[in-house]
Amino acid sequence: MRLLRQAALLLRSELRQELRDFELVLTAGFFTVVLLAMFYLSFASLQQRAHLGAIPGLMWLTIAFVGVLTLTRVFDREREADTLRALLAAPVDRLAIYVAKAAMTLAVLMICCAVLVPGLWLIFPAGAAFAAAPGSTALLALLGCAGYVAIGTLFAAGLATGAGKNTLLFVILYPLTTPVLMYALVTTRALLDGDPALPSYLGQMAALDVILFAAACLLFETVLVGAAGPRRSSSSARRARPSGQVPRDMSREPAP
Amino acid sequence: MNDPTSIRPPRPFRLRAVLPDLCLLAAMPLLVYSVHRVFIDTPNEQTMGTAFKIFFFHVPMGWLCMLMALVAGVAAGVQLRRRSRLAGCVALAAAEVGFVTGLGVLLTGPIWGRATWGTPWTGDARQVTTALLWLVIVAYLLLRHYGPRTSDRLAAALAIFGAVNVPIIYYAVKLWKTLHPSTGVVGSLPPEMWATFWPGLGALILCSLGLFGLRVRQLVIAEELDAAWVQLDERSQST
Amino acid sequence: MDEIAPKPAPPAPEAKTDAKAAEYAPVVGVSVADRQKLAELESIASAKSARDYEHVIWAYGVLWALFAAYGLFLWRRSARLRADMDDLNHALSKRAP
Repeated sequence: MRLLRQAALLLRSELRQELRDFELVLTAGFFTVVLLAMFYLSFASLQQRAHLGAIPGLMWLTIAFVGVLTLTRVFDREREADTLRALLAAPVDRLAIYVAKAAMTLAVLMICCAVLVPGLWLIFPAGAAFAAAPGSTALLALLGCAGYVAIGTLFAAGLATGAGKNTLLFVILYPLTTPVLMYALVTTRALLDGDPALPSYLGQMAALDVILFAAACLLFETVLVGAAGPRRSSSSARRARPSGQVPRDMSREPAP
Repeated sequence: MNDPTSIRPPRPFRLRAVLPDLCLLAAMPLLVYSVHRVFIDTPNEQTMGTAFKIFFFHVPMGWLCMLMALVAGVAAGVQLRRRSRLAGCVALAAAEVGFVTGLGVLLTGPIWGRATWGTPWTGDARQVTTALLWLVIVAYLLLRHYGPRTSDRLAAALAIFGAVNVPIIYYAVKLWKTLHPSTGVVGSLPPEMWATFWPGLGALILCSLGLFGLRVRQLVIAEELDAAWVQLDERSQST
Repeated sequence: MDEIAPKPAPPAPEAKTDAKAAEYAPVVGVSVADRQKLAELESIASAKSARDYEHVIWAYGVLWALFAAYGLFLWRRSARLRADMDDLNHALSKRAP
């Protein structure tokens, strides 16, 4: 209960910050609209029967791109104000930080899905299946985004240091989230085709999300503490050498 | 040999220290023997012809890639649990060898596919799974080499996630295959050809283990050198 | 005049064939069309075999090149570490009284 209470408090703080200027929602939402426009320009001339194959890929690619943008921005705030260490020093359960950040990112992604799905339906008539099964569509969007967010929040937190190597988030996140996106792809296609196995696919996605969340929860504290840990002087070893070079293959585990 | 300025006294002989070199030495004759068996002693496969001979090295490379990914995942777990630098070195070395063997699989597979079915990429489940796993290995290597100074634990978490992802990727690809059926069926090895398969597997395992051991040794030495330089610098500053 | 006795007639070919029928199987001729077809198939098979060998050489070449490249990478790293170790020894010897 303490964990949930702390997570709720942190989430409330995030939402309050967001409600001040709506930065996350507006940028992510606008990016979604821009992508829809690009999809229209690129693929609207496709034959009708190709739409069924295209819609799942376009939907989940958009979520993948918007997800990275949102995760980067969610943790940029901590990086800019260097509040990550303050957060760790406070008597807050580490997992509460994870839950709050993940919930915030999921909320933003669900808002983007609310723009994306009707947009795809407008561009591609085959997307009418989304309107015919709104409950399944909402559940599919929730489960797919939740799996993506589970992995993404962990690794975005790990890169949320003052050094700010944001570009690596793209490199890390896409290979790891490919299974989640593949499950989402197949389930979306099943939804569009009216496949009777749709509930089974949704169940498998839910199970996958549970596994990913559990793994992320186990690893989060270690990763976050490592990311916010004392920064070893970056030049101490380099300075000591007459050539000023440090062999690149050294892992720099801070001394216990 | 007894130079007082050398950083460590001469060590007694340890088998562990020369094991990688022994593995490489043992791999050489086994490699020659396996090539002889593949090209001279083994007849051509009935349906796929001469191109099937690629199989005898393609499959062991695939197995080695999976094995190295698992080793990297386990070593990363030990690195997180015990804050062990040696485990960190083992994880990085395993990822590098996994990168090499994975690249070998991804290049020889299309060559074989082109020879057999006229198309390099057949969309086979195993092919796609290996490609996705290889991408995770590359992501780990990029994070280790270019990540911020405090990203070691993050890289370890990535390796663990990658290892956990192996069965998930496999099932996800099997599910994805319902949308994208293969253009060709990748057959299994006929029973009479297994006798030719084992020497090739053994040679590649020894070769990979030898390279892996050498790389771990290099990384450990690099760690110790770094610590020695920092210690020297600190002592110079204090005096 | 004496009549020249007619030479005895040679044995009839049918009789000869009959006699040897038990020993030899009849020869079956291969038509020109069949022979051309066989030559065509053999040329296709040898072309495939040659192409297969080319692919096999490429595949093995790629594998050995990868291992050689990694070996070269390890060798260069070793050289760099050796140089670093020499630098450290030199720094220690300068520092030693």
